[in-house]
Amino acid sequence: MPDPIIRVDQLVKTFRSPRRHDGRFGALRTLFTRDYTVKTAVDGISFAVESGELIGYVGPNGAGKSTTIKMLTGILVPTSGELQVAGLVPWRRREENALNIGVVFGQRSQLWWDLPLIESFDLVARMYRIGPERFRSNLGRFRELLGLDEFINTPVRQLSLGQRMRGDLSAALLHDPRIVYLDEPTVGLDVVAKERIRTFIEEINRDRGTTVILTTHDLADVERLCRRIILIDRGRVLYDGTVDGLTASYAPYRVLIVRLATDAGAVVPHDRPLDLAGVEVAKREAGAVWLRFDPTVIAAPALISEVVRRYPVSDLSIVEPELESVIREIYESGAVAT
Amino acid sequence: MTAVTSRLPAYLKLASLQLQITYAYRGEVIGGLLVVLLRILLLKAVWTAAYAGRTSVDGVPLPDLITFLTLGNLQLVLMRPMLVWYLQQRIHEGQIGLDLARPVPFLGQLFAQQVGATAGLVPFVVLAVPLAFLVGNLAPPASPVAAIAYLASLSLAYLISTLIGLLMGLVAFWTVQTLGVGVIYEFATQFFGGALIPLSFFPPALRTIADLLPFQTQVFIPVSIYSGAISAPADIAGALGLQVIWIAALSVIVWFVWQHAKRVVTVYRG
Repeated sequence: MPDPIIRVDQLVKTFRSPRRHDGRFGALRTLFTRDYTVKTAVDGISFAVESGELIGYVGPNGAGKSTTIKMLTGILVPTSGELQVAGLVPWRRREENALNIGVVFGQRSQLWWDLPLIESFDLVARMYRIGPERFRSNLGRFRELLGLDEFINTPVRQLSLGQRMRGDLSAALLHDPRIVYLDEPTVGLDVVAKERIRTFIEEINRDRGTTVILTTHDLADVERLCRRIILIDRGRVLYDGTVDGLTASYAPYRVLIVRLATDAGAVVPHDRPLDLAGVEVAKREAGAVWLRFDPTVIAAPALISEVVRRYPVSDLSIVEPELESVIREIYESGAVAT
Repeated sequence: MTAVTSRLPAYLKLASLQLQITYAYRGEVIGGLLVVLLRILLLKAVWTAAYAGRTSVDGVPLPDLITFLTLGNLQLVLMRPMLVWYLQQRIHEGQIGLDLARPVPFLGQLFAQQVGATAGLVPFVVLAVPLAFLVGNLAPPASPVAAIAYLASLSLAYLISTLIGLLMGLVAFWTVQTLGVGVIYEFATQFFGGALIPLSFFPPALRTIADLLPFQTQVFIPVSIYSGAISAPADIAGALGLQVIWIAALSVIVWFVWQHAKRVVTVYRG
């Protein structure tokens, strides 16, 4: 197996801020205080990424996702722990590291607000010393994939959010970085714009072998794009593995939705409880019931035949757990994979 | 040196983008210049009244004084410390993270942008010269040598302003807010630089303080060379030398502060 392109080992980042004083001269006392509150944003995170992977880096607000990304880009200096990106320690060799990576922060833009989009691309070309030939061919490709032509000469402040994001993605990838960090690239976008961005991310990962670390709140992004997910909360890794494995280990339950032929004068199940091991009623509505079952205790066919035998059924369907509900459950229960 | 030349296209582009921004906000530039012209007008009125009909005070003729104040205030427009508010804005909005994720040294990026912004101001200042002559007074330089030495001294003064602006901007890495510092700085350059009252009129104690501060090198020294108040070759060399010493000292300070600032970077807004 080749060396991982990113290696993070026991990474910690704490922020120290002066404790605020209230009352008279509060601001002045704050200024000269030796009293600090320490907040640990990243608390011993470790993982390794192979070249060419497309990883979802997921966690609730304040989990430490962006702080990790900022350390990987070399912007922030870790408090302790080690990290290496393409053989470099990012914060020690920030400018060299920058040549290897591309970054998109969905909440802000690297584009020059008051100037036509193409000016920002031109600046990127000079900063990353992209030769004219490569610049032309890469820009040509992005123009085609992302439809940049309709707004490439428009001042950035006049672009829609979706257009701006397409511009930012292009700017981050013009120099063919080996690794790209996408921090909330689909935030605030409509479904069409989101899909366009996802297709683009998929293509650069597949065609160029670009390693992608994707931070997002939209788990549909992860389900659509990533095979592997790293789930973090309160600065720690909760899960690191395949998306399928996550749903399998954290959500062993399936749900069987049973619609009853009530107009046939049938009896509804709560009059006759379904006393089967591994099955419970999750939800009830007029004429329908949601049965949550553990497939390791009772297999779906067995459950279905039991249900059909006991009740007049008009329709049946099985729902696979959604990543979103799985992750919600993990956050709420605070379960830690140990 | 190769590091600088390979990055020169990036620096030039940054400067040119900032120049375009200055032009895009030309209304603000023109407004700022009008304020400066008004200041010159008021200074002229006040000093004319203060002279009370005398042609010369302490050996300084009134027209020379007005020329001094006109030129001093006009050149201060070019030395506006754009980096103070620029850095505080970038840090406040969290944009600083993107600037730091560039393969180009951060201080170099900032310097290029300051130069670009100033280059955008030059045409406006040149256009304001005839107006400044009308509201204040402008005499030609004392001699061809004075003119050349003035340009050299002005360039050094510009470097000093940029370094001080950079230093104050870097404070925002700790305090986030620097507007207060900027306001104090602008007052200090005007007052201790001699753009309101020539340093030769300062009482001895205040004059000593002014001599020990860098601000006099931004206004008083270049304008004194222009007007011929500093004219002996040894004096001119001494004045330029003092500016060079300040540049060296400030460069060292900026470098140390930056080395420390890098380690305390906090990127706001997620």
